[in-house]
Amino acid sequence: MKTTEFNIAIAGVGGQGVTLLARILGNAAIKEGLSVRIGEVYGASQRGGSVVSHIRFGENAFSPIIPNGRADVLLGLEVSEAARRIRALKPNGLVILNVYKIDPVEVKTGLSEYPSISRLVNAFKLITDQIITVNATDIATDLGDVRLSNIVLLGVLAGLSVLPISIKTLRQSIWGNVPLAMRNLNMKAFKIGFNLRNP
Amino acid sequence: MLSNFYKKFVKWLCMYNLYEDSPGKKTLMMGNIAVARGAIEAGVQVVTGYPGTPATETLEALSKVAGKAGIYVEVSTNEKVAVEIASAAAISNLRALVIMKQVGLNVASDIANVINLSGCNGGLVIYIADDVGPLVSQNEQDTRIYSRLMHLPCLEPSTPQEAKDMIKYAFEISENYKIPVILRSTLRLSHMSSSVTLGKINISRNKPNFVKDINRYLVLDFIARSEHEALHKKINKIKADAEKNPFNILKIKGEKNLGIITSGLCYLYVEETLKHCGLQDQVSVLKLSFSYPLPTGLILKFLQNVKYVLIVEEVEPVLENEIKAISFDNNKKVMVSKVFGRNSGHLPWAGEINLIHIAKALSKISNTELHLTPDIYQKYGEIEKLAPPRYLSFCAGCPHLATFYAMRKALMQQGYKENEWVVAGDIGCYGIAPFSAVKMMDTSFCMGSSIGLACGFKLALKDTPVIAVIGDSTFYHSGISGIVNAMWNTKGIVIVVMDNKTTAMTGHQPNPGVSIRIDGSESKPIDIADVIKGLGIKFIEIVDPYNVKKTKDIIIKALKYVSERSEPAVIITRRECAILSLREKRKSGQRITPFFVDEDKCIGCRICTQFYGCLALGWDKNIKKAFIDPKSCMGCSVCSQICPSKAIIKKEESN
Repeated sequence: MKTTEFNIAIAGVGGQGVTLLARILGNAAIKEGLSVRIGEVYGASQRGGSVVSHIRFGENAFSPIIPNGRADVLLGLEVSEAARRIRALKPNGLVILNVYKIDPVEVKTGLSEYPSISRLVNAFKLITDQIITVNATDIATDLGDVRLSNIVLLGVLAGLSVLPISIKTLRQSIWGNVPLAMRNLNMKAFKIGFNLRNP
Repeated sequence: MLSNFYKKFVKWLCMYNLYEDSPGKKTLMMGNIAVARGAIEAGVQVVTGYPGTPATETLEALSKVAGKAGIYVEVSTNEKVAVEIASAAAISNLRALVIMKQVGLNVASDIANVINLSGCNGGLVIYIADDVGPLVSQNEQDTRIYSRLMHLPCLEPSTPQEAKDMIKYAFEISENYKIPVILRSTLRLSHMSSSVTLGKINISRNKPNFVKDINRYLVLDFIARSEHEALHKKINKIKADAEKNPFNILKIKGEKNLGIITSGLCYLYVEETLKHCGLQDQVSVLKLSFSYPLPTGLILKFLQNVKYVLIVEEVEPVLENEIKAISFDNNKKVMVSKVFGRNSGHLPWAGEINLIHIAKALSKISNTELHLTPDIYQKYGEIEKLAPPRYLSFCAGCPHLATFYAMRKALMQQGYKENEWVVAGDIGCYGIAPFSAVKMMDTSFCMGSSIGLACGFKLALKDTPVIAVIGDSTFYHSGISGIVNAMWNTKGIVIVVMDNKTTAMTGHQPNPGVSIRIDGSESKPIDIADVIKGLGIKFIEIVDPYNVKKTKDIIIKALKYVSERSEPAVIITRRECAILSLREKRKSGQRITPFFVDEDKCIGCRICTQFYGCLALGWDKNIKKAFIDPKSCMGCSVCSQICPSKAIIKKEESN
């Protein structure tokens, strides 16, 4: 599947597996001979910090950073983090949100407020009508490992048939990029996510 | 203790096919890993450096394949030592690579400004990743200015593929001209991943050989003068390579009006801006591979074809100023009438360049409207502002946090008020302290600077209690010289060495205080207390910061000690980094018993959340009680010690 430009911004909190998703998508793209650029910042943003990965496919995607308003998809592993990265999304772009929040320290200690999830989700309507909400963390927890929520969301994205990558390649890339012992569980998580929109 | 962690890391790195000998294979690589791969393909023999974002991954990656590839890799005490070791190796005909972040070159500049004169025999490449932004550093200094001061050729790759190929080329230039070469990256390139086509791994190795030559290696005044002249001649010769190499890109387009000269990652921004604005066939582009020395001929050729030229570079107007000089010297030959960039106000003076900057500059120069982003900015802002701030925070159970809490308590118990003490900080995770609930630390400048600064504050402020805080890795890096000064020049300061047995902020690289080196080999740890004792400092206390009262009492004792005499007191707060300790516990199957808040006893004073603020602590505003997230709690017990109503207890104690 060829594309001249397709951009995905993945937002989340350190430890949620944002960079793993980027690696899975990047490796899959290379396998299909699709040009790929991934932009990330490592170092200070680990361990509970705000994390974003920019994944860009196609010949017209030169820079590793998605220019403002050019992301086709914004994938939020945490709701407020997706809101923080909204500037990447193009008007009426696709937003996939994990209905899950992780309180920052300031909120936990009562120094700052976390808006209600419904208020956050509704706010995205200012930019787009394409908002998909998933309880990925709940699904992952039921599967036995909360860390699988990123793969559930990837499954949802794959199920929407918007990616310029085949499902087969994507599945292979998950298989090759997750720890050996976790392979089957990850495939299961992907399948559940995939079927959420393709019953 | 660390070995398990490293084994896991090796597995992770294997995904990058670092040592896979399959030329032609395409693989996903981060810029820093591509540099490591390029060094392997170039047949590097000695690798030194000091961890620092955004360059760390190169050093780590090479250390993981060191044994397999027969490469010597070390984390040196600091960047200066790293360049010294690599220099001697390269003088002895080996191929050597030094890895550091931009500010590391400040530390290494002393030796780098001399080794340029004597040069090398085996290739010597210094890989420096500049933090433009800056996103994770104390400044955004431009290494390309150093390359001019040092007269060291400076190469600038634009993609991970180029980074891999250019480091091989850098080794060639270095060996051909017997001169160290700088490979300069910027954070976005270092941390960018894209497809890289692997090349052949060079298994041939240079033979070690040192030919004595005092006219080269004994750089004294009279030698330096003649070598300085020779160095200029060398650089002039290298200009021929700068003119002709496969990494320059020259595209003459359109009506011969507008052109852009760029280098490094900015080239990608330029190409994308032109593409999106539909200007690819109208604007000429010159991408330079050498930012020092500049290829005058190639630049002239470009300037003969365009009337206006915009220089897009990060982060100082280095190319801009020199290209202006070139066009001035050749004003009869060139067509260009104006050079735009930072000096002309077309691009910002600081921070990263983005597509909007370039489009705006082009609009201004060509007097046309160029639109890049949707005009609904305000709506974006409304969504954005809903996100609560997520600052960097100390990890749950961080021993540094406990130390700072005890420090504040100690100062307050001694009757000092907030504005009556000075805490000079240093570079490390503890830099989070001023932004955390403990709100400690008044200054932070550069590696190892806290102690010197504390001496200066003491000199200026006399009766004010002055505390220097420094981490273990930073202590070995450049804190020792400050402590020697504090002792010999008799300054009554308290020095707190926060010894968490790792270089935590950059991802847990080992330091001289631990027994396993970065390549997994064993060494004898150097005890900080022994070093301090050797200086004749009499007040040395080692304390576990998880013991709040004891830590506080020792700090009080130290404050009293230094107020009575002009001599430093040293406290070592020793406790392994909470992340490492958590990993070890998980691996060995040890259960962590979290603490919890007994709601009946909690009086809602909020001391734990507002003055200590561990990541595992929370405040339930409905019932007005504190709570502990059992998934985050490390079981360190610090909060239970500071709770005035003894409401925080261990799970098992409640049964």
